[in-house]
Amino acid sequence: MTRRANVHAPELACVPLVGWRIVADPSVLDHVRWPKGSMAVRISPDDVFLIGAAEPSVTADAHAIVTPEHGFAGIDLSAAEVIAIAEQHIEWELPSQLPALAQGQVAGVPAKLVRHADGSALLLVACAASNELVDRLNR
Amino acid sequence: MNEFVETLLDLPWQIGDPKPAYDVVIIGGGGHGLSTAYYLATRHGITNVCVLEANYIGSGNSGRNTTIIRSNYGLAESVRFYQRSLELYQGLEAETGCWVMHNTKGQIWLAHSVTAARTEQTRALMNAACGAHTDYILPDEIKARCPQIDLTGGGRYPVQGASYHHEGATARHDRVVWAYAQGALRKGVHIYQHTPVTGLLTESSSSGVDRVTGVQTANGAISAGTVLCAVGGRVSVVAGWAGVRLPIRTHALQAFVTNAYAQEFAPIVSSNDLVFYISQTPRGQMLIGAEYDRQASYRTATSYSYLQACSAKATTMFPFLSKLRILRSWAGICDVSPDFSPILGDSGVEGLMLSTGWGTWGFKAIPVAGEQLAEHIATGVAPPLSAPFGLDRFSTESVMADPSSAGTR
Amino acid sequence: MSRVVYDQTPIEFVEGDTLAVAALRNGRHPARGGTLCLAGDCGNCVAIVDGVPWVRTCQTAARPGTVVRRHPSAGHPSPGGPESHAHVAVRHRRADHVVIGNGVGGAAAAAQERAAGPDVLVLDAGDGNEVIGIFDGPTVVVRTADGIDQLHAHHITLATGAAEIHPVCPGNMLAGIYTPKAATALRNAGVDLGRVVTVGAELALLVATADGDRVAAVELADGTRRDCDSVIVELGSSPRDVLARMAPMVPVSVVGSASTPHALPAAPTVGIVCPCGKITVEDLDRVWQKGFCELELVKRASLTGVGTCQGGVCMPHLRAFVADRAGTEPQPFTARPAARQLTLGEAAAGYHIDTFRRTPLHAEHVALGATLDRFGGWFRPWHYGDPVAEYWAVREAVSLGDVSTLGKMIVSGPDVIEMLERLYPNNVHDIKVGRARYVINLNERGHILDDGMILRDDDNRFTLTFTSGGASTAEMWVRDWIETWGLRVHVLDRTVSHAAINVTGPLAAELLGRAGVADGERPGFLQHRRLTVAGVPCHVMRLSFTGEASFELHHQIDRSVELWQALMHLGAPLGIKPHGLQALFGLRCEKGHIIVGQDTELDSSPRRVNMDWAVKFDKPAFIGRDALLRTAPLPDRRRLFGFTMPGPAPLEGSVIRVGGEVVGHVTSSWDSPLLGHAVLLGWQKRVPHVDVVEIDGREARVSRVPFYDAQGQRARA
Repeated sequence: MTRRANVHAPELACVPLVGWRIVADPSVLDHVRWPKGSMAVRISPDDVFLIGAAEPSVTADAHAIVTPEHGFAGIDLSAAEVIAIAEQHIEWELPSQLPALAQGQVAGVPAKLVRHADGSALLLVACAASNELVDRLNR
Repeated sequence: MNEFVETLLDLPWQIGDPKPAYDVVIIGGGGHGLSTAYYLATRHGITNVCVLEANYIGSGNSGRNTTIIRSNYGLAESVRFYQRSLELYQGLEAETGCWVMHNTKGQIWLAHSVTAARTEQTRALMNAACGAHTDYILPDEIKARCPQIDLTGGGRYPVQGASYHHEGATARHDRVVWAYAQGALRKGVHIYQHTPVTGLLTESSSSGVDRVTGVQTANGAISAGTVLCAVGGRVSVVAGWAGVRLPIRTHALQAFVTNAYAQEFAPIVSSNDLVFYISQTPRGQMLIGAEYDRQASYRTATSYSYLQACSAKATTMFPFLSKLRILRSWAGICDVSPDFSPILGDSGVEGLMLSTGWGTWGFKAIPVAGEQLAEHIATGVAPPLSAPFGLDRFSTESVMADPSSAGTR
Repeated sequence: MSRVVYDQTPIEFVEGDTLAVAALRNGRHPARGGTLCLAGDCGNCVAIVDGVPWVRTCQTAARPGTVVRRHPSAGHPSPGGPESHAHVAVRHRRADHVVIGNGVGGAAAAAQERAAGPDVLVLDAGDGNEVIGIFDGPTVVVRTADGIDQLHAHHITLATGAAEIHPVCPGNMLAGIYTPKAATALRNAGVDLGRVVTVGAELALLVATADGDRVAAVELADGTRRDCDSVIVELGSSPRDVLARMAPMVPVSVVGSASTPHALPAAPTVGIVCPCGKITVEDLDRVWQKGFCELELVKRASLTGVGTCQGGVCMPHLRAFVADRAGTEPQPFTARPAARQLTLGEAAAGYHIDTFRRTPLHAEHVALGATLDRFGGWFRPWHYGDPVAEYWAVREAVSLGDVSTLGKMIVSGPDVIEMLERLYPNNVHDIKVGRARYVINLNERGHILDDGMILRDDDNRFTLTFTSGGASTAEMWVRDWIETWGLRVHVLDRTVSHAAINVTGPLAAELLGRAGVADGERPGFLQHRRLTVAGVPCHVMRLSFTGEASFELHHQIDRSVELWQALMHLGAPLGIKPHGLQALFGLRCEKGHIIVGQDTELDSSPRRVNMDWAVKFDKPAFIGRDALLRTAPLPDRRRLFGFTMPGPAPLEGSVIRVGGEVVGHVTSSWDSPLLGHAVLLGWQKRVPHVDVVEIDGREARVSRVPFYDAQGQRARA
């Protein structure tokens, strides 16, 4: 049987995130200016996860759903950690144009990888499954 | 001398081309087509029968399955149907004189959660009430029957119990096909290989096809009193020639074997939650399968993700497997009906009968389906065991939904 | 010098040796006999390496201390006992272009591709990169010296060359037979082959030494005999194209001798054709005579070509045999992964079967001594040690249940009423803001998919709930239909973002009062309201599954522990206890509430479970309407009934009989502590339906449901 020594990354820390979820018409979301210092993660054309801001106002869509989002946890990853994790745990191709959001399984857990311009990233996972993800990445 | 070759039966092929007409033409020389021909000849004296096979006999799913024989289904009708098949299998070697490597191994169906335990308990109780020999057993007995198991399931899938189907068995798939082929040939049935059917002979009116009167092949037409469609995969195409739309979706089912090892793994083991199954073949290989691919397709290629998933599941419950070597993977195609039960008997168009919807449960039903269809063809009446599985059940609100028993989901 | 242990004897090897070369250097055949190719094509060098049987020693580097044992001379190696999982590293790699094979053809192909610019990776088994298969993607799976690589490539070139043909003649399973390339490799490694004879197609017979194990001489077709220690047999080669034949749907360019047609050898006349299965020409002849007269049937009937080498050795001979007997040359049979061998442990590496989810209250349950079980991918408390006490807490005092796993969704938009009216069989437009309604979801066949609640938040905004089991597919189901209908509705799934605690029991209102909810603020039955409970903002839904007054407190998951602990503390004087699913299932059974998936079957229409009242035909369209209208006039035999009988309650799954005949089975069964008898739900699938049935050999009677508080006064209290 072949073996390769496991690459032990330093323990990755997963912290709960507090933000807002905004679901609205894509054309409306395209034009919203998110507060300075916040991070807007465009999960899908009609769905934004806004981290680090006060309650946003999306008046252009009267039916927009704007609600607190406390369901995610995040892991901050350096560019090198992203590469190492991708090599071991990600089957799909990392986006080459940065910044970018990619979504898919990481170590078998549904996750979102918010990759910044410098290659570092925020790995988002549902709190309900964060235990499993952290376990697998730190194993 | 090689035991396998030594015990091989012979196939007394007929000489010459097909006749222009037969009482019964069976499309598909797999287990189902051949067993129907065999029972027509042996039980009903109907020997003016021709089986047409597009490739070689047993080249379809009859030769691409995981050879499990069991009757531990969830519906009373299904239990009785498959129990009959299991019993016919038990007597097949004595009846045909052919060694099909039938081996009663017992099947353990594991439960790793309260929900699954309820399912297995229900299975055991319904089986016992309908003539199948199944008990609900606890972890100690599971361990005794299969010492290789890790009852903690790798710490993630602790075993709570299992249903144990005493008469679960396996047989060599090809040899079953050949046993029926030999028996049919000896009675004068004609079997033609490499003879694809390209169309149906029909009588039509403004309302569509009224009657099927035979088949078209590359070498000409053959007329028939009854045409039985016993093909796998392309059944929807054949039925479509008669204007019959079948509620069938075709999916690939993959499986693999390891190299051969000493015979140490006695039973067949399945898992309700993990959805995989494993047994050791008479040749010593570990045979491992799981659920069919979600994507509908006619492909018989295999995927790496399947090997990974199956290996992960199997090694979680049986750590000794980690060091065993995968030899060969393959895929068969499964015609899946909306209720996960077969479709047997009348097609709704006179002269055309069906044997389809065999999903992942076709091999185990080869004897009973052939026996029942032969009786249906001979008498014109659906016998009690197969009557619940008619195509008309989908329009009469009497479907036979039994998803948890298919061994797949 | 370093040593490996071969059949319990330490033997020395030279740096760079494979295990096979190390064995040969020490005068041993790595297995027991047979032609050696040392190229990974045959199975003649397999042995048990560090406990793993069936390892090709010619492809495995010798490392100090490696323990090699030969397979037993008869029978198969033991799979061995349980063994812990060894860690196998998995690596995902990417390349524009992968060239498999680093021979002449491969090097040329790689150079050509590199000149064109793309990133080219060359894999060669000789460098420790064994390609075990090419799969959709395309993904090339490679077994490397230290793990498994999954290589995701855009283009694949196969330059695997050709495999040398092994001799088929009497004595071809002796030791001392080599292909030309194997002999060259051995000479280059400094292995002494003794007296060597090189022969070609004129080889007729290999003569054994006195002990019967090794070659002592060759005999040629013309009868000449030449003594030797080693024989090099030169019979040409056949394309090594197994990887291309296994991936017919993946675009693979095959170059070099792997793509060149090779002449078949002469049809074999005597000897072992398939070394893996020890199958002889005589066997093939017998099979042919028995009517198995084509390549695939010969293979299946004789089991030639299904051993370790998967036809690598026997294919040219088998094809030559069939060509000779049938008069036409057959195509090779399909190749299937794995081309090189792979253990299950290696295949399983890095794969995660599934992900178990935990509610935010997981640690609370553990601290309270709960027995947890998995339901639909979640860990949930089955009980906290005494399910009957938990039951009584609900019936007589107050209890908490963790219902965080319920599916939860917000829908909003100008077309939301239209959407919900089409989605659900019940009326939606007349649900007032602040009110809630129980609903079932049907599929197009009119069969029950799931159930849940609709709660109106605003004119154009609703909260929907689904069962824990149905939650995973609910969002897709709703979105698919919205897309299909082209309606303007926003959807936000809240299942994992919101937790929910069910406060249930006659003292539930009292507990809410203690948690700061004023009497006038509490929602009435089937109402809902946003309130602060024990300091935590909650969406409070007044529903009831247990049959008692119940308030579901939906809240952000990060406040869950705080809320649970506050309620447990405030409820202590009221006799509060948490309840697990076991008690809950009993409580709801007394109320006759079905659990979709347990009490329903795949084909359960509303009438079969006595829920016609949840279907309103006075609206133009809803999913399942056409099917229900079509099937309504059809006779129907299957119906879910409530039954009562003296305790003990029969097992769930018990068969229901009438006059000895099986008519159905019990889906839910509970010994009601309050009622003092068993209450059951179960099927009668035969008509006429009768009032008295037999369950577990005892009499049971059909009963109206609910079994408990038929008027529902307690839930409304």
